Amino acid sequence: MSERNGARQQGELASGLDALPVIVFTIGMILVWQAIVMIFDLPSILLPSPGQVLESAIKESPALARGAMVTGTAAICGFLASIIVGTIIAAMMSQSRILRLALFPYVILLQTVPIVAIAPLLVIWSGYEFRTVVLVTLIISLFPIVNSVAEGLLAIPQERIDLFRLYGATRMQTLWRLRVPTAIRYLMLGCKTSCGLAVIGAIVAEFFVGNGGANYEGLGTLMTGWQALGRTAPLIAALLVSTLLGISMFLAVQWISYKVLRRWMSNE
Amino acid sequence: MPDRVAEHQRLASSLCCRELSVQFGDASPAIDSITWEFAAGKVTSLVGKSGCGKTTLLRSLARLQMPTSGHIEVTPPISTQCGEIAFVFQQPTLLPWRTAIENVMLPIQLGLGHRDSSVSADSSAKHLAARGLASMELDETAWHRYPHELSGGMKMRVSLARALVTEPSILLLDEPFAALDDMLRLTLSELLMRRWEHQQCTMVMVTHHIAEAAMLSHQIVLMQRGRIANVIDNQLPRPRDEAVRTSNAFGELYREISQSLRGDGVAI
Repeated sequence: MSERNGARQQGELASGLDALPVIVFTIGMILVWQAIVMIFDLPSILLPSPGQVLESAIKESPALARGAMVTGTAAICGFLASIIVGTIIAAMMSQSRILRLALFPYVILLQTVPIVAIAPLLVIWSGYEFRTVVLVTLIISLFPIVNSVAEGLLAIPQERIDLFRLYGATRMQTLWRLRVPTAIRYLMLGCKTSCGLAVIGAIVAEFFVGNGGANYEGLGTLMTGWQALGRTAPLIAALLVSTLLGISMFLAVQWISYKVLRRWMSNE
Repeated sequence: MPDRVAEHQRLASSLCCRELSVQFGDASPAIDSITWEFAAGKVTSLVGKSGCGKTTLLRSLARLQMPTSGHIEVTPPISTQCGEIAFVFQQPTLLPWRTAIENVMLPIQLGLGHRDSSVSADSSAKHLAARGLASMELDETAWHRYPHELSGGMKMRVSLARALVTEPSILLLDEPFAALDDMLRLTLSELLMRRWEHQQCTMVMVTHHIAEAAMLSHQIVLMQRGRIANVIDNQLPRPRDEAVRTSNAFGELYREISQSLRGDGVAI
């Protein structure tokens, strides 16, 4: 085998053909949904047909678009804040065992305390405001970031550490030239988990923020309003829009991750 | 040229272990009171079965392993901060986010540089790295590729170039060619020897390959259970080209090493 033949390229994004199964499956699901509505003759308040959902989505499109914009902005802000705060906490934890022992229980606490229990409390403290939604989003997205980055900063192959020791690298050189680049890969993995959670966090927070009568019109606020009015079709439409929002954020993170990591992706 | 060789011979340091022992926990010592001088400007191969302590001895010489007792004297003394000791790991240990040339530049960028203190600017580092890669006969098109785009042989060329870029006075190698096929092993051994003939540094290499030990070294040190079991002086003429490799003297040396290994109950 020649040396050159051993070289290989990796990390190509999925091709258009790879999307075919999910498209076919989605069409199948819509057909089954339509069939269930027709066969069981279900009232639209219980389960509207796909056509009715589409119709109400078009009718409510200005509200849905505005809602998606508000919720999306809150989710992105909270998500970006979680990256900054999470990376700082992880960096502190990686530099000191005492800090690691002191902070880690609280990081786990963030993951285990149910967000629906914290959200009303945060509304009391922070008000029926956009910032409260961002805060809830930050809290729910933080754990995967801290966990992944801390793992990345600490899980350096021994030989690479030896290499830096051999050349007498300082603590800061080891952090910036070895630990941080290693952790970027882990950060990207954490981001993929966090970005979906960010949308969930934003919508959950909006359930509470919207109920305060504030002029806040996120997707979560719309959902609680339509649920109270028994308008199932736009409620499902809002649900689908929030799902699309989550998928869009995931794809965006996936794309950024690909752009950042593709140059040095490997099986290591 | 003779002046340059003389200068490097002057710069090469000898490594002298005095009553050196390394013990991990309650297990029997990995290195058991070894006293031995690795002569300045000479190539020594460490051979012996797995677990006999050769890698631990090599790591101790690199100061990557603290001895339990005893010490190592370097004469003339060298600074560990100047890349005067280089280590080639069994795996290439390249940083995946750096291209081949950037990996070779690393020791210089860590501020340890070259003996010539004027060499600090990035362009100079790049120039030295390029010269190192060229001396390892790595195709110029591969210089700006990332490690995952290189084959095993190319990676090892980069790893060797990185170790040699600071023109170390002591070069330590831990089975550097173990994962390569025979042809590549031979090519890289020859390249390494060419560089050694130019630099005349003190070289200590762990190997499982008898022919490699016979081809490269001045002395072959056989280790067993943490001690030096036997030492064979290699009188083969240099350069050790094809004629030397196929000579009777080479065959006799090969037999002597393998018999010595078998005689000591050492199986490699």
